[in-house]
Amino acid sequence: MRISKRRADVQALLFLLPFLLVYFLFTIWPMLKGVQMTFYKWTLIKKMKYIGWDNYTRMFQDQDFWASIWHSTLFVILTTPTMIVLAIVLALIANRQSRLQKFYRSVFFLPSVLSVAVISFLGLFIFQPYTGFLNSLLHLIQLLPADREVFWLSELGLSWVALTLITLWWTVGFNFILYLSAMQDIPDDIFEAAKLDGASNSQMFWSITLPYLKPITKTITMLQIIASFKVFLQIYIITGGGPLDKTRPVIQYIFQAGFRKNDLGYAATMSYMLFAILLVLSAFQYWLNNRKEANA
Amino acid sequence: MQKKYGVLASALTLTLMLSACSGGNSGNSGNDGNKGNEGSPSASASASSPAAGGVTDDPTGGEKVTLSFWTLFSGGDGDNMQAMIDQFNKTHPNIQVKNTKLEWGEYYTKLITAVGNGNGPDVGISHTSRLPDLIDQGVVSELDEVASATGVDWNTFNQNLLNATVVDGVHYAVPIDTHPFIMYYNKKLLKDAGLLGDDGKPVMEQSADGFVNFLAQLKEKLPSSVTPFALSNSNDDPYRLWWALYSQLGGNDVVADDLKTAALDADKGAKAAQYIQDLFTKGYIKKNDPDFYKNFQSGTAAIMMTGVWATGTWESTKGLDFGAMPIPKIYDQEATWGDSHTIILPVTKKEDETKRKAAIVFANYLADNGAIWAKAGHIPSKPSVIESAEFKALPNRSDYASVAGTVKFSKPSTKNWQLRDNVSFKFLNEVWAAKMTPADAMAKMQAAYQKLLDE
Amino acid sequence: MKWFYRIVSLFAGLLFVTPLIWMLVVSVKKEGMKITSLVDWFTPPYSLAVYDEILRTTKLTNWIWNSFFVAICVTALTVAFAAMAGFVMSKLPFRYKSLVFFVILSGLLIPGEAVIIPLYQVAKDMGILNSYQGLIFPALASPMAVIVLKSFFDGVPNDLLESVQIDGGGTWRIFTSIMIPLTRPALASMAILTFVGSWNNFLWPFLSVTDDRFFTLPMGIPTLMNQYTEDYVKPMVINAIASLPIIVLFVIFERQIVKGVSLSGIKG
Repeated sequence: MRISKRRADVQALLFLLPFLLVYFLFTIWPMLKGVQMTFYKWTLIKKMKYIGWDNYTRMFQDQDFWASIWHSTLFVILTTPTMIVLAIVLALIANRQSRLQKFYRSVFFLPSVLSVAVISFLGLFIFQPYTGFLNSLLHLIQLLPADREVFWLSELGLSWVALTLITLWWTVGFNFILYLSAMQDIPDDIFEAAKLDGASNSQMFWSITLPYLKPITKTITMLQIIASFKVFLQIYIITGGGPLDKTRPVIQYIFQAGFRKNDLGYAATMSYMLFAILLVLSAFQYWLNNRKEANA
Repeated sequence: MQKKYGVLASALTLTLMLSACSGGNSGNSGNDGNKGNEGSPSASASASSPAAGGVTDDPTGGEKVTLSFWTLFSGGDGDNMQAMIDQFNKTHPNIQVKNTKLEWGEYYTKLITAVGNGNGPDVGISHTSRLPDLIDQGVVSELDEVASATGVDWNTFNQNLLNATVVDGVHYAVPIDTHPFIMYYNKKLLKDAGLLGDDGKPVMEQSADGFVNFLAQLKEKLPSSVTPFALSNSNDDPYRLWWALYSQLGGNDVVADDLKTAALDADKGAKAAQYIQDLFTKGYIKKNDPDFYKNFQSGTAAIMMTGVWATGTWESTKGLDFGAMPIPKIYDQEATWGDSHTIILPVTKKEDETKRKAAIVFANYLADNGAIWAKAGHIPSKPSVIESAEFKALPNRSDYASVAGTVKFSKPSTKNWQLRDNVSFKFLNEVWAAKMTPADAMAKMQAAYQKLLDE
Repeated sequence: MKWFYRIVSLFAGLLFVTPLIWMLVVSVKKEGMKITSLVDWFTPPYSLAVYDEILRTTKLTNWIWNSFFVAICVTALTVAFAAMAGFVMSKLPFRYKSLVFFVILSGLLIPGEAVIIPLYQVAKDMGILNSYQGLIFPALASPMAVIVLKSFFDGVPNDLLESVQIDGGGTWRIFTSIMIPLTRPALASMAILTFVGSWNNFLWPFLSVTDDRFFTLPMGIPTLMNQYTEDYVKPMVINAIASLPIIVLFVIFERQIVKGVSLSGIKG
């Protein structure tokens, strides 16, 4: 654009001002403020006293904190691959020519628009013993004897299963749509040509569809890992972090330290650790993507 | 045409949004807050304020004040509290108390943050067990001065309850009740099992074996669909039972007098935990019962243990013929778990003496009218109320009112609720699920208590 | 084989709606009924009494309104701010441009959760806890939106802008009469994602609001629920009331929403 330099500067500033204002006030400034907080005993009410590196040494020795980091990581490991496989399967279903095509697209995406609180309580009541939906169903179709119950929410392994299932059901819709549109972008003539060569459906899936989905899979993986690592409310409502705090994610631990135990300074310190971890994750991902592309 | 519309629309929405978003705050303030509660029954209008001692009826000197009051009560408690407030407002025309009900799980966080931000209430509720923490954080104010200015007499309170709210000789709270952990029984089911005496009380030997025997007979003689003992499988209620038995064994509080050292008596703790674990593993308690209240309420459980607040709920349940009694004396001495609701005056930005006087008169009024509060099941904090005809007219309460003297309170550690919620619950839950041995749990608890106290 | 695919597909489809159907069916059951088998949920007596009770005695409708209000404000302002910023980053030369770009870009790496504790302190210092401003303004700082919109603006050919300039149009006119209409699908996509994000935002409202007049749904709902209950009618009514408005919106705008989501993948 041709425009006088000074005028451009002023205009640019005016256009940028609203965004930069909120950005500085609510992201950059807290980011800096937080650094100060990590060096203090700092309660919900006020700044108490300077304590140097105490919060940091405490964090590195705090086994509960590292356990909660592991739980969030475990949640990432459980949800990311399953999410991708499920999203591809659902996209394949909705991509087939069928009278129900629209129905599939709607129902696979519908849960994504529900409030996280709603799906959490729905999950809780589905997995509750005795009268919950799942156990009642298992009793009805006699997969489970009438006098036995599966305790989805109090057995550690089963709680992870329940949490993963609910999360998949809730959020797979977004990834499903991304895969669906990626599949629809694959030029039809490629399939036509393959059919003429006598390729079977499964051959076409493995050698045409999947390679086409590779770029979007990279994007989804990266977004999913970070999103899963930040899990909080489903777990907080469904298992409360139990049994024995063994499903408690890191966000919950930080929240409890800050707002239940009234220690914002320590909570801020742990937030920075979380920040560092997410940063390393993104960097690793970036490096991985670029390396693969370089090889290809 | 299209373009013009675009310009207009975007400019318009932007300004609209900006004004709407910033102006929205002051818009619908307040008045819809309490409307929902007005339907509460005011059948309790009979209770006249005893005007005990020399408590002034007009602490504001004719000035009109409005007190904001934060509570954490729902259900029957919520209705009774509202009834007492309505009655107070009627009898004290110069003072208007406005009740804000908060959700109990978030209550303390909200109270602490709000007081810290300078927009806390004039009057609040605190459990005795939470008081030391609130004092330490500078949330609650001292009451001695304002109490003597209005003639509130500390001697009219049950001293066991009152002493638990006094820290370093200073009064910080007005206890209005105690709500100990007690036992309920279904008379019909006990009768079916042949375990109900002619006096309407359970036939049970008050000892470790006696209680187990009692449960064994219930299990044997009643249909398998009946739960002998309805109890939560995690957190509060089984912990309270453990605390009761641990105290009956003469166990110390879990912190030493210096409030810095973990002092769990591991042998006694393990013995009490073992006893309860056996109740779970032998099938007297329904495993992972998601709704132990409903279990007892719908007449499918023979006995149940929880706080006294359930009394009102059972009474309003049609067709439930029940009785109440203290926790059986399983071990050497009578003791149980209990806590108190107390009224506190949170620290406010400008200490308004008139409001504070009005607030403490209100607090004392709530204690004096404990007979209304007792409808939910609580034991009033003033002996004079327990002796009153009105309280005695309520059924069941007198069967357990004596427990007020045997409640074992924790020491005033600022961390005592954290010790309970973050350590005791966590490990004892594992014991109840038979995933950890009692001895192992005690060792882990001791270490975790110490870690928490060192923080 | 074709039938096998069909059955599997149908099964998957039903599986996804079952929880919602169950929710709706339970929500119209009469309260306090004895439920001994799954079949009991799906047989009468039915009643709408609990709907009436919940709507009358709780603030659920207030919270639905708050959720919408906050989400709409956040969406409109985020998209407006990000579009303005993205536009100059894309099309306007100015001093320190690369520095500003770097500052915005590095914001992508700061997850909201990592600054939420100090953000609480900052909001407290500003006195905007417990207010709509407090719910809305911190949510507007979305460098992601700026970067994404910038890349869409990059796709608008410069010749077009110059033709308007020759016409004598200023920068604001270029922005509103060329950039916005040409990137409308991208803006809509951004708006939809922002709206859903705000609708589901839990942590910040949970920390910053203590007054139930300002609750949004995700924080209001748990306050109405009792975790230990076998009588699901009330909870399901609450779930249903909270979900119906957004489900209706979804049905109406499904095409746009799906398009918006798929567009977000291209630049993601």
